[in-house]
Amino acid sequence: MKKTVFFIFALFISLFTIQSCDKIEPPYKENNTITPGETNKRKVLLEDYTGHTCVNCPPAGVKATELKEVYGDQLVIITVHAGYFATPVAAPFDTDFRTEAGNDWNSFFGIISNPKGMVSRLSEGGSQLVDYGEWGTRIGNLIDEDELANIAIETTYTESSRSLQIKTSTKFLQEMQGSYNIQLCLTEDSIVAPQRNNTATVGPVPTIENYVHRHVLRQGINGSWGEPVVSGNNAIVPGQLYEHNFSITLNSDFNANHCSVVAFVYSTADYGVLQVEEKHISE
Amino acid sequence: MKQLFFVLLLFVMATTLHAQENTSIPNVTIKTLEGQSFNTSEITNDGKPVILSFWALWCKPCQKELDAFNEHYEEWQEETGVKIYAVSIDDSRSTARVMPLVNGKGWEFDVLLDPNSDLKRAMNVNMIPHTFLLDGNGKIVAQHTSYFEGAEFELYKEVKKLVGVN
Amino acid sequence: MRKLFLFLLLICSSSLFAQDFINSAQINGSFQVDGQFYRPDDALGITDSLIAGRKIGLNGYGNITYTLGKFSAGMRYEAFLTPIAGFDPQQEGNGFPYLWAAYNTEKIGVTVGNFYEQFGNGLLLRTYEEWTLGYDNSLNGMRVVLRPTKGVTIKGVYGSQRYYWQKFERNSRGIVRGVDAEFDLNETVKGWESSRVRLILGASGVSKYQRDADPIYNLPENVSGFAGRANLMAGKFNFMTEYAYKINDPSAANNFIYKEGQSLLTSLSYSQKGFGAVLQLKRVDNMSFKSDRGISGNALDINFIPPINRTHSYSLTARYPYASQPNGEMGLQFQLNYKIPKGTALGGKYGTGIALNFSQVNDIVRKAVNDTTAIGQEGTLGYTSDFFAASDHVFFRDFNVQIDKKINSKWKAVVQYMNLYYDIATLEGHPGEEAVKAHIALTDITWKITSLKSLRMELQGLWTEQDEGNWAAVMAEYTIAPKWFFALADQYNYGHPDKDMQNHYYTFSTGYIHDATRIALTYGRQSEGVVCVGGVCRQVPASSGLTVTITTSF
Repeated sequence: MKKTVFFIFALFISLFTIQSCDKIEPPYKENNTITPGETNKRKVLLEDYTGHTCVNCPPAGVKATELKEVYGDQLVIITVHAGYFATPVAAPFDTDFRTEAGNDWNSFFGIISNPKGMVSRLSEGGSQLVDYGEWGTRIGNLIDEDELANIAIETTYTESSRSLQIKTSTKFLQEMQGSYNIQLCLTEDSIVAPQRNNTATVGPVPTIENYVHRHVLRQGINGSWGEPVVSGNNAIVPGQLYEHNFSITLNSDFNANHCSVVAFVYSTADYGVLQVEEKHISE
Repeated sequence: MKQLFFVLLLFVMATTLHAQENTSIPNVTIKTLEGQSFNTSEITNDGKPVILSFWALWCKPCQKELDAFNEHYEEWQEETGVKIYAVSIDDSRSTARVMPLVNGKGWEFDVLLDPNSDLKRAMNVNMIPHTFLLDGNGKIVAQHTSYFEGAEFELYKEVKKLVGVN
Repeated sequence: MRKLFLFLLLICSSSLFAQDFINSAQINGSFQVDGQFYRPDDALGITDSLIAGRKIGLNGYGNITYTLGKFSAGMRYEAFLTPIAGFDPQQEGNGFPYLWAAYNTEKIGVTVGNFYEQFGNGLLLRTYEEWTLGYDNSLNGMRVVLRPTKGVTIKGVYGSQRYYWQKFERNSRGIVRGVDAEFDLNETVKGWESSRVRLILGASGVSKYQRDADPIYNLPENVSGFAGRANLMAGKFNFMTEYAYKINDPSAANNFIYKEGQSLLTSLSYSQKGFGAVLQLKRVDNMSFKSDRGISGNALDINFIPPINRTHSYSLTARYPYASQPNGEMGLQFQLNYKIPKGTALGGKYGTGIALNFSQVNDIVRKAVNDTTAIGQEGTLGYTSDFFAASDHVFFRDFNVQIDKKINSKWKAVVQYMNLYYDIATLEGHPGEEAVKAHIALTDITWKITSLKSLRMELQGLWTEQDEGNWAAVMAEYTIAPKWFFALADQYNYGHPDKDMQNHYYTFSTGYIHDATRIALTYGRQSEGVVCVGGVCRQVPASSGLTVTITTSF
C-alpha cells in the first residue's frame, strides 16, 4: 500500500515536471517585424497614464517605445500625464503636463496607481486598465483584425499665425449598431524634461534630468469626449464619408515640429476604440 | 438579483438549521506546535469544558489574555477540570517564533498552529482575540471577541456554571 | 449567477436526501462592515473638492458556512462601495468572490470552487485572504487531499486566482496547478513511532500556464517550481528548512529577466520552560511568482515570501514595517525569550519577562552575465548571484528589547526599546531618500482599578533625522471588562522638517462588545503615504472623519 502511494506520487511528480517546464534558450527577444502599411488592418490606440514623479513609470515608457518599433504606424501612442504623480511640485518637477482631457479620462477610468495603460480602451474581465507587462499581448490580440472604420486626417498648419486647420473623414466599412463619437487630440513628441526613476537599466536613479517624454497628450481638440460621428439620431450608413472640421491655435509652448493630431472613433456604450489615426501637423 | 439569491439562501438556511451556538467545532486538520498534523476532532476533555482561544504573536491583547489564563490555569483546573487550547494563527513569517515564545512565557496549556487560517475560517473568526467555550460534549456554548483586563473572570464564571461549581 | 444557483440546489438537495442528518446540519457565519465618513480638514490639506463627493467609504462582507456531516459548503459576499481610504481602488465592486463546496472523510477531501491552500511555508504556493489589507489571491478550481495511511498527506490543486473583480477569461491570466506530499516518518516508518527524534519531510511542485502572445519576448508558457522541506525535532531542539527553485519566469516583477529563482528558509530553535531562542536565516533570489506575468502591484501572487522580522504592534514601532523583497534579499533573525523566575531578586513576586530580538536583511550580490549586458537588463539572463554572499546594501535592521513586569496585583508595565535602520528608498520606492535611522522607546502601563475596570496608558517616542522626523504618541484606554472600552490617542509629528506639516493625528475611539459582536467607533485623523512597491506607485491620501466597525460571528 505504502509503496503504491510512493510510486503514484513519484509518477505524478515526474509527469508534472516533464509536462510543465518550458526552459527558454537565448535569444530571448523575438525578431518580430510586422509587415507595415496594410491599410485594411485595424489600428490600435495605446494610452500610457504616467507622471513625472512616478518612479516606476520609465519602464512603461520603454515598453511603449519597443512596441512602436514592432508595430509602426499600426500602433498610436498617447502618453497621458494625470493624477497625483503628474501634479507639479518643487523644481525641477514644476512643469504641468496635465490636460483637462487627460484629467477627465484619468478620473473616469479610475486610474489611481501608475503606470497604467489602456489598449483601445477595450475591457477584459470587466476592466479597461492594463499593466505595461500586458500591453504587448493585448495589442497583439487586436492587430490582425480587419478595420471596421477608416479615418483620414488632413491638416493645414500656418506657422505665422500658429493656426491649425483639421479635417477628418470617417467611413464605416460595415453595418454598425450603437452610436460612435470621434475624439481628436493633439500630442507633442520628444519633450525633454526631468523624470523620477527607480530602474537603473533605464537611466540614472533617482532622477533622469533629460528624459525624453514621448507622445505627450497636450490638448483635447474637441473636449474630453469628442462629438458624434453621425449627427442627430441618424443611423450609420456604411461607406458614407462623415466629415468634421476643426480649427485651433497652437499654444506657443508647443513645438510645432513635434506635434501630431490623433483622431479616434469610439463606442459611446463601452468606450471601446474602433479605429485610430495619427497625422503629423505639418506633413 | 444576486442579492436576492443571497437573502433567499440565508432564509433557507435559517429555517432549517441552528446557529453555531450548540454546535460542535468543525473538523479541520491543523498542526501541533511540533509541526505534526492535528485533527480538531481531537480537541476533547473527558466530559469537562474546553476553552479554545485564537491568538497570534502580533496581537498584544491576545497574549495578555493568555497570560491571564496561565496565571490562573492551575487553580482553574483543580476546581473545574477545564482545559485550554490556544490556537495561533501566525503564518510562516512567524510560526518559528511561536514555540520559543510559548516556552519563554511558560504557558502551561496546549498550543496549536493554524498557519493557513483554516480553523479560523471554519469557525468564522473575524478578529482576534476570539475565545470559544465548549461544554463537556464539545458543543460551543459561548464565544467572545476582544480581551480587556479582568474578562478572564467573566469567562471562568461561565465555566463554573457548566460544571456546577460555585 | 449560475454558480449561486447550483450552490442553492446543492444545499436543498442535501437537506432533502439526507433527512436523517437534518438535525446534525450546522451553520455558522460572520459579518463585518467597516465604514468611514470623511470630512474636510484644512490642516491635512483635505478640501471638499478632494473628497469629490466620495464622502463615505464602506467595506463589508458576510460569510456563511454550512456543514452536514461530511459535506460542507460556504460563501462570502463582499461589497466595497466605495473602498475606504488606503484600499486599492480596484477593490470597488460587489459580489461573491468566495463560493465553495467540500466533501471530507478521513482518507479523502475534495473541494470545488474557491479555496485557500498552503504548501509548506508557502515559498511555492500560498493562497490566503487578509481582510484588513484587502488582499485575496484565492484559487478558483479544485483541490483533492488524500490521506492514504496515517502520517501521509498528498494534495493536488488547480485553478485560476482571484484578481479583484476581474473575471477569468480564456488567456486573460494564468492557470495554476500544484501537488504536495508530506510524510510524518514517525507515523509511517515501522519502529520510529516512539522515537524521541521526530522527522517530517515534504515536497511540492507548482506550475503555471500562461499563453505567450507577447510580440517582443519569447516567453515560457509553462513555468514550474519545486520545493523540498524538512522538520526535525530532537528533544528541546527544533530544526526546520525549506528550499524552493523556480525555472525561468520573465515577468514585469523582475523586469523580464530569464534567470532561475531560488529561496531558502531555515530556522533552528531551542526552548524549555521559561526560556526560548530561535535563529532564522533566509535567502531569496528572483522568486516573484505570479499567475500573470504582466501585472504590476500586489496581486495574483502564487507564492508567499515571509518577512521574518518581528511584527510590531505598537503604533510607532510599526511605523516602518519591513516588506519582503521577492527579487532578492538575505536575512537573519534572532529572538530570545526568557522569564526571570518568581521569587528571585529580578523576578520579584510574579517573575519578569524579557524578549530580545534582532533582525537584519541585506540585498543579494548581483554580477553581470557578460561585459555587454547591464545587471538586470530586460530580455537577458539578468545577472548571476553567489548563493552564500550578501551585499553591503542593508535594507532593514531592527534590534529591540522588551521587558514585561507585573509589579503587584494592581500594576503591570511593559517597556520597549527599538533601534531601526530602514532603507526607505528601496522599501517604499522613494529613490534618493536617505535611509531612516531611528530610536524608538515606549512604555505601556496598566492600572487595574477594580477586578473589571482598568486604565492603560502608552507613551511612545520616535527620534529620527530622516523622513518626517520625530514623533511622539500618547494613548489612554479605559476598559470595563468584558463589554466596554474608551480610548484617546494622539500622534504628534513634532519634528517634521516642514513646519506646516507638524500635525497632530488624534483619535477618539469607543466600543461595545457583546459575545462575538463588536461595535467600534473611531473619530480622528490618519496620515498620508506614498508607496511605490511592486512596480506601481500609489498614494494613500490623508483622511479625517469617523470610522465605524461592526463585526459579528455566529
